[in-house]
Amino acid sequence: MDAAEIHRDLIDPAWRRRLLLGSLAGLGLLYLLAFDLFVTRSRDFVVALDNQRALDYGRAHILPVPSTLSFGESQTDNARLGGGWHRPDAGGVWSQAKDTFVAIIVVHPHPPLHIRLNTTAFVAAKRPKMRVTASINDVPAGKWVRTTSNANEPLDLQVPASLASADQLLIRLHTDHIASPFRLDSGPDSRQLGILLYSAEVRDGHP
Amino acid sequence: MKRSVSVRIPDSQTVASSFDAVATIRHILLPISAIFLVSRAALLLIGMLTFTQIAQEPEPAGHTLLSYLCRFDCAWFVGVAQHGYSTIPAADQPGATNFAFYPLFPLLIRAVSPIVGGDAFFAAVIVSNLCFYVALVYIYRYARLLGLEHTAALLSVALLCILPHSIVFSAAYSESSFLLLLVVAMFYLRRENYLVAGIAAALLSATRTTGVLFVVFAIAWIVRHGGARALLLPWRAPEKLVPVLFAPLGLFLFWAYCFLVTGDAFAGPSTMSHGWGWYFLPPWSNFAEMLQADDIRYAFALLALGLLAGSFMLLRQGLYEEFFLCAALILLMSSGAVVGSLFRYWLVLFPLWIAAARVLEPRPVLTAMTFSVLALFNGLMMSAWTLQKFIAI
Repeated sequence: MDAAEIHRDLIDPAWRRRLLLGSLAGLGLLYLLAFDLFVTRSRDFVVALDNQRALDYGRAHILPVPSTLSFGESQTDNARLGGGWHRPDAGGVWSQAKDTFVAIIVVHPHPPLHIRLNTTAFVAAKRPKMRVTASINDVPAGKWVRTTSNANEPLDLQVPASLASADQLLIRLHTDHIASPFRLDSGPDSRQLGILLYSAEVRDGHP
Repeated sequence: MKRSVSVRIPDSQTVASSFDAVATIRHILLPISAIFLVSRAALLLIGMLTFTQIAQEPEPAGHTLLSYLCRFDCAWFVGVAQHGYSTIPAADQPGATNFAFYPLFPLLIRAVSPIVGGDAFFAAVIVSNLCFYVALVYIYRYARLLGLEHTAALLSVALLCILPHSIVFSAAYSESSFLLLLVVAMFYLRRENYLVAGIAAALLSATRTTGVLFVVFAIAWIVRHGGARALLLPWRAPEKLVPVLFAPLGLFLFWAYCFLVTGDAFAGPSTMSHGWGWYFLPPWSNFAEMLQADDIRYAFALLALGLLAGSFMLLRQGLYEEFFLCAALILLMSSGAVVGSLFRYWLVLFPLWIAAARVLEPRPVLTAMTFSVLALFNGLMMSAWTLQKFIAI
């Protein structure tokens, strides 16, 4: 121990330094635990609120079967859209996040349903392939690959009777990416886009 | 009989300190006050002239000179101070909630509000200007700490007052509180007062997310002054780590609050994404995109790259910690896909302005030219701010 360290020990004893170090280590550990909790348990609150709003609207406006819903600028069915969508455009509504939601509540109880979502996937020369998956009330309901050749094909979801009889159907569409057309040299739009939804058909699922 | 008379003679220390106080006021505080007041008055005058001579619409009822200090995000900050946080989005901006605004500035407004009769906007203006004035004093002291002469240090202060868009330091915005806490944290770290530096850093990250990048400065400072040993053998001098570990505290507390209230610790980024269309892009990708644009983004990209290049001045002047901090802040600020607000985000990079002052101080012609150009652009930005143009968001 040199003179400087002896002097330091006199004015700042080792126990105090250990206590401080322990406290700082504890604070660091607390950050890690809190961050882990925040990442694993947090749910996008804007999406959650939009979903709730869409479900509330759906409950107040229960759909008969068959029905056709239209989405886009000044369409009343936009209220059935949950979180993850841009403001409606003239020709439909673009997704702005990888996960988007549509709330559908049909006359209950009901036999199997067939839901067709008429969409256009945003695929461009620089991003020619998009994987889309759908789930209803967290139950997988289909997956598709969209390319420049089939970007406009509809997404057909088969809803079994067990699921169709649920109080509410919250459809989640997941795309493996979103991108801005501007960034991909496909147009001036600098918004992040996934799929364009312009209508949905809800029909009886019996063959 | 001889009467003894007791005369109190001030000791030499008292004389020296009272002389110091007078000298400080005369040579430091007076010039800073003058720079502060003249620059603010000039900006308000430009605002008034813009409104009366250029604006299309007439002044709304109850409009005063101070109304020019409330534009864009002002209502959000004042709203948080008055009513607290709310998950209800703005009527005309789906997904936009006040969780995008960090809590320290609104808390300060709320604290001052009762003193000014409950007027939250007036309180915000007072807090903002007070913070800015104190920040200017600390920037002067910081510049002196870095070895700048008196004139160069005052030049740093003047630069900050005259930079384009410096009106935000007097408006109901959190820039001035951010600037103050940043300079205080850096100043006291350099003075090895770790606790004060740590507390300022914690408050800094409660003012804006980017405040957490103070950690970059602190780590660079520790490594430079204690070597890598200081980090690898922390038990030798744990007090040096206080600012590093305190810095994220404000951010984590706000995250915890958001988590409890909304179930989403990252309510800020969530609402920024849905309400303002903000999303993260790596800076290189963002720069490439901005440079392709044929609108204001192109100018922003050039300016950001210019600032990044300018931050190398800090390296040349041996201000390595400041360089790492400024570079990290510029890169982080350039990683958002929404470029609005970049001007005011850059203003707080005061080490850059100190370095610029050091370069300018021995060159009076260059100084005059620089100040003339900056003053013109500051006037232009003030007009844009008054008229609520996009560039001044």
